[in-house]
Amino acid sequence: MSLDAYILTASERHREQLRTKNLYLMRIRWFYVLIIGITGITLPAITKTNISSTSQQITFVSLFLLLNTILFYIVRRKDGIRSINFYRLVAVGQIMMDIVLASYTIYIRGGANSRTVILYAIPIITAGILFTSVVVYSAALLSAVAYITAVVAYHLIHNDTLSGAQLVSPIVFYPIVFFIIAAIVTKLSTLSAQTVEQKSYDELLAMLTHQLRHPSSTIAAIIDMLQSDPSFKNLSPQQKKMLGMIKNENSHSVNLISNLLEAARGESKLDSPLAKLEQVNIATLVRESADSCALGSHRAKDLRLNIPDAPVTSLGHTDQLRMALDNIINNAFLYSQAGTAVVIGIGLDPKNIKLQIIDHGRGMSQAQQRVLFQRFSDFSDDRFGNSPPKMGLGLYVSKRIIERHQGTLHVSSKVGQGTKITVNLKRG
Amino acid sequence: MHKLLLIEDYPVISVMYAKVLKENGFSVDTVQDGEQALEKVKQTNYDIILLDMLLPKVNGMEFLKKFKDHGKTKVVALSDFDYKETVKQAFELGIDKFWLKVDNTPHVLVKKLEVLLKEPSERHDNLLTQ
Repeated sequence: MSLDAYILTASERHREQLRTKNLYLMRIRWFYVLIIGITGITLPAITKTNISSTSQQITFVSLFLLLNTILFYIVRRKDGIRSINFYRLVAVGQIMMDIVLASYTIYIRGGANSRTVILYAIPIITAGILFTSVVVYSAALLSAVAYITAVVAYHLIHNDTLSGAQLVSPIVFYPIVFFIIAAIVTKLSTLSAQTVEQKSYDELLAMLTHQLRHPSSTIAAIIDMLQSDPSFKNLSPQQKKMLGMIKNENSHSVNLISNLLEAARGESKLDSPLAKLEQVNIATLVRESADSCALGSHRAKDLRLNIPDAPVTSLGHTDQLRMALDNIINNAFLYSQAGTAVVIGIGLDPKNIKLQIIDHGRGMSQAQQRVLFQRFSDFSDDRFGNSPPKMGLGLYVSKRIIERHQGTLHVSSKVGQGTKITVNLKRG
Repeated sequence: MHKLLLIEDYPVISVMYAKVLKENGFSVDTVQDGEQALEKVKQTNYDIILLDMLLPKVNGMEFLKKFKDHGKTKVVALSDFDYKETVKQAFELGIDKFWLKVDNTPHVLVKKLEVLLKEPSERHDNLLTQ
């Protein structure tokens, strides 16, 4: 599948998502309209004997059921009408209908005294699920106007004994509640939209990785075929060597593609909100990261941990903190020689967690330390052993993550002696 | 002789893998999209299916959803599209392995398939014990 086809599919998927959401909301509204309808018809019929008012209500609720049915079948149509704007228009219809129905219910249930005022939350939430904040606040404003109209109309028509002062409080209070609901809904839908955007971005990056890897996969398969072909042995040593070089360069390019996109993926996450803050056990996280990095660099024997057994917690985002730690600890192994210790310790005071990662490698000059946390600052030449090339984003990403957690990251290093990275995080 | 279905839309890759697999004793059928694959699996009981995830018409994931009852057939996703959600969902839909094409050149793949075919199917055993 090409990238163009993928993007086209993504747009179709967006329309499909809107249609599915609409359909889902429609199903919920069946119950809502039915419950309100039955209550609206039966309660006045039981408590009052005004035949004309009951028949009016039956007509009103029947009209709503009919309109709902029409909207439901329109949204269910899979083919034919396929524009996104169409589904948006249907949704606006739903919101307006809900506001009118809520207001009518308020009116028949006794105006300002009615607790059914909570029904206005439904159009506001519907707007939050399907639209941006402007529509959500507009729905809240319309709800407020409709509510006030229903209450005033009830009291004018029924010559209610409630005084103006008694009316003012619900008329002021409930519209404020509508706007509070709108603010909460907007906040929640923004968070959810950002999560969706992050997912789409990750998927797009995976798609790009696939597209970039694709020629490399074909080259790798062709080299594999050539090397196993009977005529391969007839090639001169020079030709065989060149084929080997093509193979190495190809796998080198695959590594670069993977690293580049992995770094982009990591960096993109820095712009997503720290939505779900959780209590992260830093002691466990450091232990897991250290073990994984030590094993990965075949240096489990060099790892020295000085970490408390008891949980040491901080409020944050587990995945991001793990990414930050992995980058720092991996560097300690990359820039020090096998056989030298990498010491990782945690110190505590009542408010802070102080994490230190010490290696006994080459260390860094003052000039290197100045650019250490900048993007693309790669010190590959100072590494020990063979490791694939990196993009020089690791510590830049780590520092940003730590700072997003209201923490600090410091480095002290001396050429020939090694490097000490200190991370301070708040306990919580 | 193990019966194998190779679902791959890119002809160059398909031809090379099919050639090496045939040379190593597999009976190979090749198709270019998920729709053709669904037709094939109705006609033949394959020992193994190699499935590219990004395919025209019916993609890999849709194929897996429709090809639920694959009994002892082992399904290997062979793709360079390793979006973590896709990989996770593919395993939930019953694939045995997810291998990157770039790491699994034809001869590497043959060796890994020979090992895989000797392994008891974990998925099948799980179904029996449930």
